[in-house]
Amino acid sequence: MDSDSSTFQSNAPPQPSDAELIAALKSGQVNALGTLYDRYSRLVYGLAYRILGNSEEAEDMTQEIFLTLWRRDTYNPNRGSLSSFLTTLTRSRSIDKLRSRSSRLRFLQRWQGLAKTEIMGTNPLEQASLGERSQRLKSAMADLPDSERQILEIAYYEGLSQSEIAQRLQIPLGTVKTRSRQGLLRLRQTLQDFI
Amino acid sequence: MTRAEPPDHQPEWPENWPENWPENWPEQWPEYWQDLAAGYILNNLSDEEKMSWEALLQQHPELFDEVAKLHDSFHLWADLVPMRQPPPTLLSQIHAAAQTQLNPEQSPAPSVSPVQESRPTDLRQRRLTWIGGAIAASLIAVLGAQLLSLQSQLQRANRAIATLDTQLQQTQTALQQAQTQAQAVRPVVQTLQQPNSLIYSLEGSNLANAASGRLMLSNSQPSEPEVIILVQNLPQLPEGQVYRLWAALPTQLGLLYCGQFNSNAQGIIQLTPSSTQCREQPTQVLITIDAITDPTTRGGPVVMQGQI
Repeated sequence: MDSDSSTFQSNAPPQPSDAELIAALKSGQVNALGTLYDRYSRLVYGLAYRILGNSEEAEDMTQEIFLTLWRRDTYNPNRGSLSSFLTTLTRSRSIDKLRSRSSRLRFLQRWQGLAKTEIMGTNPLEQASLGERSQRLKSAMADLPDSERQILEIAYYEGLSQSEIAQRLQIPLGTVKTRSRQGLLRLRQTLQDFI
Repeated sequence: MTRAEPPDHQPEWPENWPENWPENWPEQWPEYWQDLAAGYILNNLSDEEKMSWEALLQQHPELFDEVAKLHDSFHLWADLVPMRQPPPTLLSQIHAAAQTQLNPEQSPAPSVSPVQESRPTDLRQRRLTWIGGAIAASLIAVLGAQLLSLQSQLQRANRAIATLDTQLQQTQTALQQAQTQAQAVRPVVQTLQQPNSLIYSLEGSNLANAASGRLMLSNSQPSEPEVIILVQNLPQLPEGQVYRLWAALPTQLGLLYCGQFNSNAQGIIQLTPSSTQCREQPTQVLITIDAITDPTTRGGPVVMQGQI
């Protein structure tokens, strides 16, 4: 996902790297923000939509993320790829927003939004764009025991605490901790040559 | 990979963990620190585990690399999410907000204020917009209803104006009639105001028993009509017939012809006597019906008569 890692050859003029675009942002070049947007907006918007469950809040979140990238010098290229930074930031902010919801109505709205997503699905082009990497990830996730995958999914997409997960799944808190840690370590082991 | 259970290694661990552990213990017992690292990434370390993990990282900063890989493993869930194309207007909104921050004094997008920079367009703004749209729609509906009401009121007002026009025309007609009557009555009033006027009470005969009236005879104002007759129920005569006025004078034996007239709707007849003798205080007055061609030497049937 990181553009710096692109290895294919093309006749098109070379595209600036993420690091170059970030440097341009720091020097106040707004156009660099547009290039980064073209590169990562679908990633950010898609994740925000997955977590928040509706297009309005996902749109707000996407705007917030890119303005944060523009306004604050928070991204350090030495600490990881820009895509990783953006997904981490998007997840964190989206879960914060998700947690600010307290009413049952909001939950229902999100649930309905996700149900709609399931109906919509992804189009063939998007499926193809996920490519081999996606298939590898899906395979690794599928290899996880259901009990571990379910907990990790809830923890990642909903940001629930371990006690909240235990309450929802009606299993002991210790079991949630054990299964989640086992699942993450298993995933790390499976994808050790991939990360 | 299966998670090793720490109790399996417990007999080999020093009691005062981690200070007294061997330097290479992470390599010897990777399962334990990996469990802590996973808990750290998942944010489910207990307080005791958190203290142990922080101390471990201080002693073995090389573990940060493994922490980063665990972090990436956890966030791989994001890569499974289908990418979605944001609305086409979003980029222009972001660009405008960024530009506003860059040049606060030159706001290229009025819809994005500096306050909004710290907090992009959110649902509340959308809801406010929606509420604003709903209020506008309500106002339009109310105004539409008011317009219909005004149109109805205008139609009623137009009908009232038409009625008032008719009433005004009727009033004007009545006023003209009143003015005509006033003009007709004026001589009557003037005659009554004269001290020498003579007033005769008229009564109908068998030919016109419903008729009644007054006859006034003036002597002092030669320019005014000398005889005024006020009558009721005296029918107007057809063409060819006339009423004739006769006066009985104390100085003459016969009746003196004084003039002829026809009745009218107002019941006010003015005439100038055909002879000045008619003003010489007649003792009786008579009104006859005659053919207009009849000689005035004698009268026809008497319809009214009066005395002083």
